[in-house]
Amino acid sequence: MNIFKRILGKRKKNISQINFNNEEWVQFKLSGDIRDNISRLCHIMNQPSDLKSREFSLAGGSRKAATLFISTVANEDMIQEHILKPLIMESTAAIGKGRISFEEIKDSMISADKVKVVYTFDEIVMGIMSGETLLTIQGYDKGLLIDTKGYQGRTVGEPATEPSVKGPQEAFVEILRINIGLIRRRLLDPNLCIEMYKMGRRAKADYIIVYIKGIANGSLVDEIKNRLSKLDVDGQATTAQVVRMIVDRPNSIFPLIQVTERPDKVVSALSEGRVAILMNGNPEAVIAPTTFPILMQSSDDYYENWIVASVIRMARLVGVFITALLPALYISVTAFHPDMIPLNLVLSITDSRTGVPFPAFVEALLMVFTLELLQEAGIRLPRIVGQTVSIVGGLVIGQAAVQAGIVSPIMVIVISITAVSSFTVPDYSLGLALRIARIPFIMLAVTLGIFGVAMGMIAGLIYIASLKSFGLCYLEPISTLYPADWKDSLLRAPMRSMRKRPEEMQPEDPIRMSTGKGGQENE
Amino acid sequence: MNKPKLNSMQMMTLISAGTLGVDILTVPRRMVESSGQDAWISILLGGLLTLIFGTLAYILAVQYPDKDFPEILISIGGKFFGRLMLLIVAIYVLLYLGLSIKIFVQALLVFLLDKTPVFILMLLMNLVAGYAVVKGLETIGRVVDILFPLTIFTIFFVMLLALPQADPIRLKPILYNNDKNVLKSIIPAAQRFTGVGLILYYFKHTNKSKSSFLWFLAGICIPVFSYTALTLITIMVFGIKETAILTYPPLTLIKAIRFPISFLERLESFAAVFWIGIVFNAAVLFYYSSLRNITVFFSIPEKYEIYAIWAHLPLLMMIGQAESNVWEVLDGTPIIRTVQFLIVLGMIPLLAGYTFLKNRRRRPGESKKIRDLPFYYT
Repeated sequence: MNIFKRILGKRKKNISQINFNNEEWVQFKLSGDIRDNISRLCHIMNQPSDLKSREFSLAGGSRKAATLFISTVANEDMIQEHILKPLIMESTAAIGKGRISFEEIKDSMISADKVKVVYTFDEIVMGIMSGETLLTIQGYDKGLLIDTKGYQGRTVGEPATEPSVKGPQEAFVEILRINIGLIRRRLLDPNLCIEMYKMGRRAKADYIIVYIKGIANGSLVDEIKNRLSKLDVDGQATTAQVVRMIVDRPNSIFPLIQVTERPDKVVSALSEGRVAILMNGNPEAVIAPTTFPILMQSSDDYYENWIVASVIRMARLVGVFITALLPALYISVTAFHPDMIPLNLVLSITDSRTGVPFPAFVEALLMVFTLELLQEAGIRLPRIVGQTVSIVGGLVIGQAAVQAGIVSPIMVIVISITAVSSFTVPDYSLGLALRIARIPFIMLAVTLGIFGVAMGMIAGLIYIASLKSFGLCYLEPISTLYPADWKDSLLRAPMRSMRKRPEEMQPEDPIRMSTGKGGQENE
Repeated sequence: MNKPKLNSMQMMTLISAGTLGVDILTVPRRMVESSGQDAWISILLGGLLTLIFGTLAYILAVQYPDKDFPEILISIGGKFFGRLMLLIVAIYVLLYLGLSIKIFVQALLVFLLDKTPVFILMLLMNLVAGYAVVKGLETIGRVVDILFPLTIFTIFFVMLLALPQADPIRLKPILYNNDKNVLKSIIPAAQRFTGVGLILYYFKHTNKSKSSFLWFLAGICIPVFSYTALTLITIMVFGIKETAILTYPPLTLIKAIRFPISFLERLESFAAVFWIGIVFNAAVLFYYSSLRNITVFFSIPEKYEIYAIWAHLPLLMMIGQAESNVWEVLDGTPIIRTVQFLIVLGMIPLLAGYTFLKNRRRRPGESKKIRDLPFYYT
């Protein structure tokens, strides 16, 4: 173990010793010669084909200036409308007033809403790459970095992986600004904090940490910020990838963060005191901390009557057990304990297995593997073809396999029920984890029957109970630590009874709802 | 002091789960053997006695809020006598743990896996219990929290299903020429509630509150009630003669249940599966206690505790292998019971009384601090 640590430790040190150019660009400063600035920028950025520069004259030709931007990420109309047009027109109008100062250009001639004075090339390169435009003026050793971000992105659409029957039909997109808007529109709270940071050694990516000040626990927010700031990643990555690197147990198959594409889920989590992380270019938000019961909840639970919602949640929980355990239980009962089930059922199973050349566990593994292949193929293929594959795989191959005597009909039923149950799990990553978990259970069933399955369940429970998501136990509130939080865990109590925010999050403001009929409640 | 890893409510689940261990399989038979149809009265009275001794154990634990039992023993008895007392306790806990698992595995052989070697079943049980201990006290607390309601549900579900076959006439005559046997059986009955002593191991890690003591009492009352009810039902279903010859009366009781819907052919096999959770709870709690005994006895630093945990494995396997016949195992337990009698009913009350008096004499001016402590100080 120590040898591995030593090797890995050394490797990490080597990586951190590499110097990238962007750290050296601080030394390069803008000069008073615009040609020199343009050529230096082209050199630093390796002559990109989409880097465009336009030289023009200010104040009737008395002074030269140039704009530099990347056409694929900047909005050229905006540059035209808010930089070039006012600059040329205003400066021409100001000819008789004498020399135009740099500050005058910045404050009175550019109508863009975000303008920053820059001196060194590190800021310039990063700004230009993110869609900003550099204005460099002859004779000034400083420039203006103007916000003209305007790359094309898709419009807000419906959630693809988290559909809801009654809830909002909006999902995050790849543009961070739009995603912030989707959250803000639902959460008109001045205490909503959106803190923007940059990440990446080579390619810098914008990411935001979102929380509600006064609700989210300060130490949780600090912990997340601290862990993210310590990350030393090379370049652009997805939000989930990044956050998975900072979770308490990165090797756990169970998701220790909640990845969602639904803004309403993020808003709900924020109002419970949790923290969301969004990254530019990613149509998803990561919510931390998360727990097993949270991952079992769906947005629709809150649009239905509490009894209906509770029954559906219980059905989902049964689905979890079926997904992970049904093949294993079938194998253990048929192979080890046929006396447990009624004689007629035993005879029926035996009859259906007549002629099948494999033992039950080989049959089960074969079917589970086929099912995984079909599910994976269904995801990778285009939607219409994917449906065809599902029909061909599920019905035709299943039927053919039974008729050919490779698998028994009862095994097809068992695996089909398992597959259907796995889709009841609202969180995709949790569903995947459960699908993987059924393999060790099948192995235990094969070797030790139902005792093996029971011991496997206990070992699994121990493992899950030991997991933590940013310090919060993964099984909260299914324990005696926070009995008040049982109201919204495996069952859902009436909304009126959920007056307090979850205690497990240790919110700074624990009261969520007033007890009176309309009046506000003091703490 | 470290942050508490358990809350006061967990006192109830831990004590109950620790008590409702493997004994639940044999309590009705053992008590019927000694006090006939009045066995349930002996259990009730034994439960009352356990409440008293449990309170004494609680008093001892409160005197040393930042120490667990092995540390208390060293603190009171010093390096030599303390370690001597600890050695007795450590051997007892280890034997109790090993034999409990052994008895349960024997029951599994009868009802679930008749062809699987005992060695394999014991190994798996010990491995999983050891794994829980590796994960730490917080995880143990949570696992017990989740398994405990299943435990209680199983026991009461079995009793409910058996009710139609119960005949109250089998309990009669109550206390007729049997009062001496009933009184004699009080101490053996109290010995079935060994889990009470676990308070001394877990109190240190509990979030102390005014309700801690009440949760602790609830933790004693649940097994007392469960054992009494189970013995009552067993006698009412089988009568005393049959109960006395049944190896595992509760499992046979399940066998006798006539389930209205013939969905399950052998309900007792399914119940044996649920019983795994019950025994596992107790096993893991005693495993942790044994770990504490050994680490304190050998002064093992925390970072090497993992080796002490897995060092239990060969020891427990050896204890399990020592006696292969179930009757030998069952007959061998009285030795453990005697040691247990000395510890629970002798050592703990004596230590509790000694420290209570010592602390009172030494700190007369600390009334303010005392006021924060549980009821018996005020």
